[in-house]
Amino acid sequence: MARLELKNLNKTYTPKVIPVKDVSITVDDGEFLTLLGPSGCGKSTTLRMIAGLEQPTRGQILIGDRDVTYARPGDRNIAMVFQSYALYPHLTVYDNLAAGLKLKKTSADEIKRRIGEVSSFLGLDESLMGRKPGQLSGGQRQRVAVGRALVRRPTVFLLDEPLSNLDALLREHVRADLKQLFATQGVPVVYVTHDQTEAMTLSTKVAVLNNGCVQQLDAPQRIYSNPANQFVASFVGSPQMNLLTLRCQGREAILGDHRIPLPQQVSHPPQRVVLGIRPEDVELARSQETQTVQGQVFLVENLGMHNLVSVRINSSQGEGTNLRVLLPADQTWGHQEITLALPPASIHWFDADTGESLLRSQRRESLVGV
Amino acid sequence: MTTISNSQPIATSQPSRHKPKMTWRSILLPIAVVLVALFCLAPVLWQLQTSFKVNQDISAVPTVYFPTRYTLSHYIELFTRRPFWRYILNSAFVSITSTALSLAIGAPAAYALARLRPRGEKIVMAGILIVTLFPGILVFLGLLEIVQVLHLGNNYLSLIIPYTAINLPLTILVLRSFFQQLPKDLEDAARVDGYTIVQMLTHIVLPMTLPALVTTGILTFIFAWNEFIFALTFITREDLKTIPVAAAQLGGSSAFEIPFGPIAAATVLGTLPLVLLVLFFQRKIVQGLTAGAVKG
Repeated sequence: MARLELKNLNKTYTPKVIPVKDVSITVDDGEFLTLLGPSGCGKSTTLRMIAGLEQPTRGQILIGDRDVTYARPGDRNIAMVFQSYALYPHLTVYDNLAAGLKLKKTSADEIKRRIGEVSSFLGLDESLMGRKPGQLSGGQRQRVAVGRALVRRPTVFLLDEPLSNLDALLREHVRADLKQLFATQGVPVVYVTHDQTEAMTLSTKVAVLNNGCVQQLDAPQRIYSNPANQFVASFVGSPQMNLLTLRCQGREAILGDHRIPLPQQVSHPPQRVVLGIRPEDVELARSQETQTVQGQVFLVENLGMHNLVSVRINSSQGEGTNLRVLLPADQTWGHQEITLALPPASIHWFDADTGESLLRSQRRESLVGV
Repeated sequence: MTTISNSQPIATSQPSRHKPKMTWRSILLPIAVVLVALFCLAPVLWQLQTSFKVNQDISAVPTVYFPTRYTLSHYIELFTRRPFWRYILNSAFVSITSTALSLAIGAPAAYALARLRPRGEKIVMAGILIVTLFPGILVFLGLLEIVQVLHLGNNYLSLIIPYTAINLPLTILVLRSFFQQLPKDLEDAARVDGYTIVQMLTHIVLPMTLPALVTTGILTFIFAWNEFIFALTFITREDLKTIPVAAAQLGGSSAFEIPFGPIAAATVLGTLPLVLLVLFFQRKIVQGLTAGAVKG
């Protein structure tokens, strides 16, 4: 039906305050794009520009080849779910759902039919229709807010952290519901969140934003397994990836008293590199493994399924390094020496100065649409 | 007998649960409430009582605090000897018009100040605040000159325009702070839904603003209804006078007689609409009308 295209979108308030710097993203029909990033990274501003609530300073927004950069929000045929739900407090649930359709002069029968469809789809009881938003629970309000977007049958869905006001259990349910629901819609969906779990579970495509720039635009799995730079590596994944800044000697990085060879693909190793490895990728060393490090356990955090063990790797030069490791919960750890294996395939290498991935830097342009 | 013998041991074993404790708080609080209420209401109650007293009781020495004879003659006198209906209508017209005008001008101004954040917003707000600090009497002589130059004397406009102007700062200040509290998301949602700016203001913002509009409207109305000096000076024609002026100018049958009864009756009649208005709208001023719009 339509695809959403952002071309070099830029929002500049003052020369020093630039929340969005030249973002270019394409979202096809049926794709679920998540804008992921810490607060203040420009994700909400980007979404508001797509909605037409903010004017971009430069750049273009296309919906199905139609330039809507300066169109009114109402003329874009988009629907938006707000973080605060933004239900009209003086209208009943039914009128809230019908408001957008009434403005488009949809016939009363059609409105009734669509609301019936959506409300049964969302499990909104007939008895709720006459109530005001103030008389609903948080979960019900959230569903009404989603319903208000659905009845419009828009060409693009925009969702601004719609789950952040729900409690943890409900959030998990609604997350699963939303995934199923938007999979059936077959239109572009843009979802803004700072919660990486939502980003990983819901999306077909994730754009990680920081300081107004797209850091990486990729499938969730690739964001996780092949982070394009140090920021993405540290932002995605919980517990956070270990990022160790190491000196290089020739083609080897020096970690404590150990030497870890850089991969073959790296043509010109920089002076200093950052070694990234996820806590769950570090293993207890078995006898046949060669790439191992020794360290001392100094902290054990029980996460239920696993123990998060912090290990200090000492070096003869004096300064030590900390490594966090996820180990099975069936073992207990005291303050003891431990030997860990760092599987070469799980190690991510970054340039310590630029933060870019050493492995990806050659083919970066083709992967990130900036 | 049985009940007494039963209740006795309980009462002695657990005295604190059955006898309410006599604390200083429980004695003094009701007394204080009654005293404060009496202090505030005494003049009103005295006027009310006077308006129903017969003339002998009003002027009797020693003062009759609890009259035995009551009469409606003062009220009847107001309507037969004077065009009192006319005064009420004049007051109502001037008050309602100036209230409506100050809301119609003040609300958009307040909305613009709250939402558009125009340049020099702080200067405008400071100006509005300073205007509220002027005593009305200060502008009175200047206004008189203007009224004379524009030939507005003995014209409703000579009251409506100053009343509106004097009430505008208050209206803008109150409504602006109310608009600032309204969640911005609601307006964004309305725009995404396809409302134009005007539709959004009338369909979404206005219904939520009603409590604030009613509150400021009542304050404006009360001011206009009670205003005396402008009404006394700018209006001299009998059929244009407002209630406060008319009540003050009630005369007796001779120059030496002060008609306390009719004055009291006029005061009561002049206050009654305000009391009814506040009582009626009190229920309409439902706080928390915006509850549920956003996560509460």
